[in-house]
Amino acid sequence: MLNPRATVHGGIWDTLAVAVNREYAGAATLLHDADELALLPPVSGGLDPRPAPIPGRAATQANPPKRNQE
Amino acid sequence: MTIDFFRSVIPTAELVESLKAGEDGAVVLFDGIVRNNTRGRKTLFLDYESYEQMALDQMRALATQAIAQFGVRDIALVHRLGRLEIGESSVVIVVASAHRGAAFDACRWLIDTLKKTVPIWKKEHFVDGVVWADGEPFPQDLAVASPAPTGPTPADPVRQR
Repeated sequence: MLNPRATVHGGIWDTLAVAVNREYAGAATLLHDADELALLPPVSGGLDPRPAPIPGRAATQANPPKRNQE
Repeated sequence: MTIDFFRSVIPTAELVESLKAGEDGAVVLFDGIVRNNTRGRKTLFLDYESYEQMALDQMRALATQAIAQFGVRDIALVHRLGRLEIGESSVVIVVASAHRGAAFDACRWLIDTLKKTVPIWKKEHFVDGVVWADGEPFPQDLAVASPAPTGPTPADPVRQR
């Protein structure tokens, strides 16, 4: 299991994301032999502060993208 | 759908032309270009790097989601890597749709989401130093241990303090 509590909390774990086999993974993810593990620092495509829904999880967000009814 | 990285100038005009089809009523283009300063600090050039295979998968997933949820017909989503000079395009998004409203909405959502979730990083070379851009915090459920503003989440023990 990925267990950030076993390390320094309040440090880099507060800003990292983890990917297993090139998909974002949560702390409950089990690792297997030959899995590809990546520690990702915050991505830096710009300074736009506007929030956006999460890919693949928009249905659970408060403001999912809406189909335009034009 | 066109998802790709470029290591030289992005062929924006070709992307736009290749995406158009008879049933489209609108093509919306977002062209993200390199600015000559960050908060007033003069920029010389940028270097972009990526975790490429994951980034391509993420970009494809975003485009697929946008087509499904906004009802647009087709999308080109491409990013440039390597060294970019001031004014050059770093990211180009083209959305083709029967109607303009859906195309604008999808394009805005794509660039906002790409900037927060696709593993691409930017090193800024200023006149007086070099820094990796800070980046935005990951959305709450992608970060490993980001603090939960609404309190601990029982389903996710990592967020308990």
